[in-house]
This record gives sequence, structure tokens and C-alpha cells, in this order.
Amino acid sequence: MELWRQIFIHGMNMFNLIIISYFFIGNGVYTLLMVLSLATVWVYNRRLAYQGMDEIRESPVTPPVTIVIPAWNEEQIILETTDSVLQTDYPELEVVVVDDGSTDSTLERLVEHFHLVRMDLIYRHDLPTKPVRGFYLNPDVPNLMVVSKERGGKPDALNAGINICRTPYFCTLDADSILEPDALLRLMRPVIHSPVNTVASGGIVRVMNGCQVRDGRVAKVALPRSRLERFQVVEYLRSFLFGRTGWDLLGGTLIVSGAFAVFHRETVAEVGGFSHDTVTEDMDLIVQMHHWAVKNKRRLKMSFTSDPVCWTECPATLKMLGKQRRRWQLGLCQTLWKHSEMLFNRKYGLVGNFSFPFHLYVEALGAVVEFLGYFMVPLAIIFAMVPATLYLLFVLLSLAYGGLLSIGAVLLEELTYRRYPGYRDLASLLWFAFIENIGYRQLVLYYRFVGVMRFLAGSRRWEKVTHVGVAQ
Amino acid sequence: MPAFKNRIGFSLLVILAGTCLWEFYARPATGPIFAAAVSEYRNHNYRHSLQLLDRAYQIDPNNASVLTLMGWDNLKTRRPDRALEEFSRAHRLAPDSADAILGYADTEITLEHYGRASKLLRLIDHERDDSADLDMAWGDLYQLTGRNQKAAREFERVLALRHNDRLALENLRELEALNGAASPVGLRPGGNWRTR
Repeated sequence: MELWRQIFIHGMNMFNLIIISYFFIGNGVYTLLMVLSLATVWVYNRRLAYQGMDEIRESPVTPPVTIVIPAWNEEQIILETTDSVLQTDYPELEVVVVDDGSTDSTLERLVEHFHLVRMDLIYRHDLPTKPVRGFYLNPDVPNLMVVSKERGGKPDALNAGINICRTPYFCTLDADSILEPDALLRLMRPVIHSPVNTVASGGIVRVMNGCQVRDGRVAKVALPRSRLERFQVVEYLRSFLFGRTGWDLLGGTLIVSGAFAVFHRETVAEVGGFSHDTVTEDMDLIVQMHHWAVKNKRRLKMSFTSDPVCWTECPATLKMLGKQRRRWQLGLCQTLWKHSEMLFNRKYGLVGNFSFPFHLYVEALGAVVEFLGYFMVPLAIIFAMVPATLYLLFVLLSLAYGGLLSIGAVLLEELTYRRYPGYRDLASLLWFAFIENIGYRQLVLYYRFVGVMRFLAGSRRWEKVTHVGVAQ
Repeated sequence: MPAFKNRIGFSLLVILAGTCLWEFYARPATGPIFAAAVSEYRNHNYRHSLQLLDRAYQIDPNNASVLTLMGWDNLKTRRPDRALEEFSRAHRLAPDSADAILGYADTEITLEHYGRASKLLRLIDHERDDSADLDMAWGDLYQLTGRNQKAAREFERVLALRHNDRLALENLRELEALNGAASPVGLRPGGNWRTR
């Protein structure tokens, strides 16, 4: 008995050390990212004020881009998305919608709406995919092509789109998303201006729930009504505005949201396209490209820009939120595990020595540490370990700091892009940023924990999040 | 194991090994500080002993011996509330520690929680044969609850084990003078802070 007590006390002491390290490293890096993002976004906005987009819009050397939209059972929203994309303000644009063997009327609706005619085309088979059933075109809408193929999953649909893509760059866009008219121009700006080959450029994804959508455009930005969706608005702001902006400035971009990102076609084809190995094919592709660049001694750049906006529907129910977050966490773990040779590998520079370890220890495994940390409070009280009051203080401190980071993200949004102009909206966002850490954070943490457990159990399940059309 | 050939698996192993190394070897030892604190306690320098123990506590906050001695120091310096917290934690961390229980019981007696003190003392009753401190505690408890004859027997046992125990002698004389007729309130000694 005494031996077990000693083992327990030592175990708790060791866990304390881990959780305190996690707290300081995690929050330290988040603070660094927040400070960097504040500076970057402010400078970027000042520069944009006098540069504008005309230069890119009117330049004859602006590279053409293909927007690839993978769609599976998206009959509810596919027409709106395609209409919106066709109106995108970009000099040379092609749109490829890949119907990934939908069992609903996604294909029929597209064919009917755009008066498409089935054709047989010859194309390069750079990447292996499930068989293509047919191509659908309309000479009156020359920049739109619909591809129908057998079901092979989202990566397979994207790879089919890449095979068909004729332009040097392609943009991936989720079928449930709406682009702002100049989003692609803004997204291509760092690609065009970069002295090295920018192989991936990501933009910000914002929550469409609650907004008014008219003719495939977000006509009025508003906050969603439900609390669950409002929490996600804050979360997206934090994740994109200072998470990804900060990593971009440090040169440690490891995640570019595939919901809206531009990629260099040849590089993607060379690394083998989107992989089926993980359930987050976008992150896997970015890491794969880092890997490929080091192996082939090539200088590549991945960039993130905070003003090209893509509006997307966030999960409106707990069930869907759970599916999404479990999948994200599972995909994160799968991708990191798959590319584990990058960890603390000096060949990968900052990505291998800073960004990758941060994503592994804080984003992936941190979910387990934090989740177990909550159980330490009652255990501490029961077994009289490090005074329970100290434990409670630590939990409160971590919650308060989390709130501070979220409030920082909302204020950054307010100082820069101000998409939610009303003071009531600002007050609401600040309030939700403040209370996000009480309840919502723990809920998401639980989903993330389950995601890690599923990874350990070897799951490869792709949990589909269905959308219900929550925009007004 | 194949998992540890992977850099992630290996890094986790390193973190675990590093944490174990810290816990069992690299963490500054509390031993010398604790020994110095015990020495100061024996020399009745309770405040200095407490200062040393504060340092030991920073290093090892879950050490029952450190907590127990902190409790005694606080009891000696007439801060029973603090002592109670420390003895309580020490007792929960090391339920078999007689010293922690005795200190806990003494603190409860000081705070006039006689029922709780009695329960605690019963936990270590099996050590009565060779513990003058335990007999002293029982004596105090009996005396303060008006059971003077029982108290007198306990003080006699203390004197049998520790012939010149000043407090036991004083208490016994006091009880003999009262001849068992006084009320508990009248018997409560003003400065009965035991020296162990």
C-alpha cells in the first residue's frame, strides 16, 4: 500500500511538471504569435491602403488559376457556391467542380442549372484517381467544367481536379464555402510578389452562419444567433488571425486550410497530390511539400494572408461540431506521426525545430495533458497533493489566460478588418471570447481528446459534417 | 518497440525519462534543508526552522515529513490554524505517519476539537507503550475534558518513560492539588504548549 502511495505521489509530481511546462510553453508561444500577428496585420493593412489590387488585376503576367471544388452530396449549396465562384474577380479563371460520386442530385442540379452537356475529354493522368465517368461543359460558360467520377473521397476528388487543371496554380475550395469577390486576387498577391516559389497560399476562413447571403455573395455580415456558433466565430478569429499569421511570419506554416487555399500545381503533382493516408489531406500536403523541398534541396514558401476571405458554414449542432473536431485532431495526429522524421531534424530548419514540435506537443498531445489536468483537481483534493487551492488557482489562471488570448484576437479583428461593425457585435464577441473558456473550451477539449484516442486506436474514419444552410 | 524507432515515440520516451530523472535524481534534494530545519526545531528556533522548511516546500510540496515539521513549527509559534492545514495534508499524504497524526491531534486539542483529537489519537494507540508524547497527548485531552484521574494516569506513564518531563510533572501536581474535583474549564492551563 505504502509503495503504491509513493508511486502515486511521484506520478502526480511528474504530471505536475509536464502540465506546468505545457502551460508555459503553450501560452508563451501563443503570446509570441499574438504579438507578431498584431504587428504583421497592422503593417499589412497600412501597405494595402496604398497598393490596392489593380496592379494584379490588370497585369498581363498574373498567372491563371483554376478553382477546384470537390463536392459529395452537396445539392443544398452547390449552385450557390458555383455561382459565387464564377463571379470571382480574377483576370484568368477556370472553375472545376468535381462530383465525387454523389448519391443525391448534386450533378443533376449543376447540369440543369448551367445547361451542361456531357463530353469525353483526354487529360493528363498525373495522379491516380478513381475512374472519371464524364465531363460536363457548356460553351456559353467556357470557364466552368463539371467532372463526374466514382466515389473516392475528398483527396481523390481534389486529385482528379488537379489532373484536369491546366493552369500553374489551382485553388481548393470547399463546396459549402463562399468567396469574397476579390479573395483570389488577394490570395495570389503573395504568390506573385514572392521572390521564391510560393507553393501554397492560404486565406482566412470566416464563419458564414448568421450572415445574409444573396446571389452567391455575403450581402450582410452578422453574428449567428446560437451560442455554439458564436463561440466558433471567436475560435476562427483566434486560429486564423493570430495563429496562422504568426506562423507565417516566423516561416513555420504547417497548416493551410484546404477550405480555401492556392497551390502550385506542378509541385503538388510532384509530391503525389493529396494523400489518402490521413483525414486532413490539406495539412498532410503542406507537410509533404516541406519534406519534398528538403529532400530535393528546393526553396519553397508557404504563405498565409489574413484578408482574402472565404465564408464557410461552421457546425450548428454539437453532434456536427464533435465530428469536425474529432476529425481535425485525428488528422493532426496522423499527419504528425506520418512525417515524424521532421521532428527536431535540423534539415527542416524552423519547421522541424519549432513549428512541428509545437503542433505535436501543444496542439496534438496538449489535448491529452489538458484533459487529464482537469481530473487532477479532484484527485489533488482527495489525496491532499500540492494544495488544492493552488491547483484551482492554476486552472483559473489558465482559463483567464485563454480568455485573454481570445479577447486579443477579437480586438485584432476590431483594429484591422472590422467585419462585424456594430458595437453590439463587438460587445458580443468580447463576451463570448471571455466566456469561451468556461464550458466551450472543455467541450472542444473533450472532442480533441477523443480524436487522439481514435488515433491511438488506429482509426481512419472520415466523419462527414453535413450542413443545413445556416446563412440567412 | 517499433513505436520508439519513430522520432515522436522516441521524443516521448525522452520526455518521460527526463521527468523521471528530475523527480528522482535531478530535483534539488530537500534532505539537507530538512535536516537543518530539524536541528533548528530542536534548538527551539521555530521561526528559522520554518524559513528553511519553506524552501524545502518549494522543492517538494508533497513531502509529508516537511509538512509535519512545518505543522509542529507553526504549533510551537501559536499558529494552530496553519498547523492544522499542514498536519491534515501530511496525514492524508502519509496516513500511517504517527508523527503527523500526533501533531494533528495536538492541534485539534489546542483548537478545542476534543472529539476529533480523540479519534486521531486512537489511530496510533498501538504505539502507546513506548511513546511518551502520545501519553502526554492523551493526558492533555483527558485533563481538558475533565477526566482528571485518567489524565493523571497518563502523566504518570509519561514520567515513567521520561523521568524529568517538566510539563507532565506540573500537570500531575496541578491535578493532585485539585483532587479530581475541579471543573474542566477551571483546569485549562494557560500556557500548555508542549515541548517534544
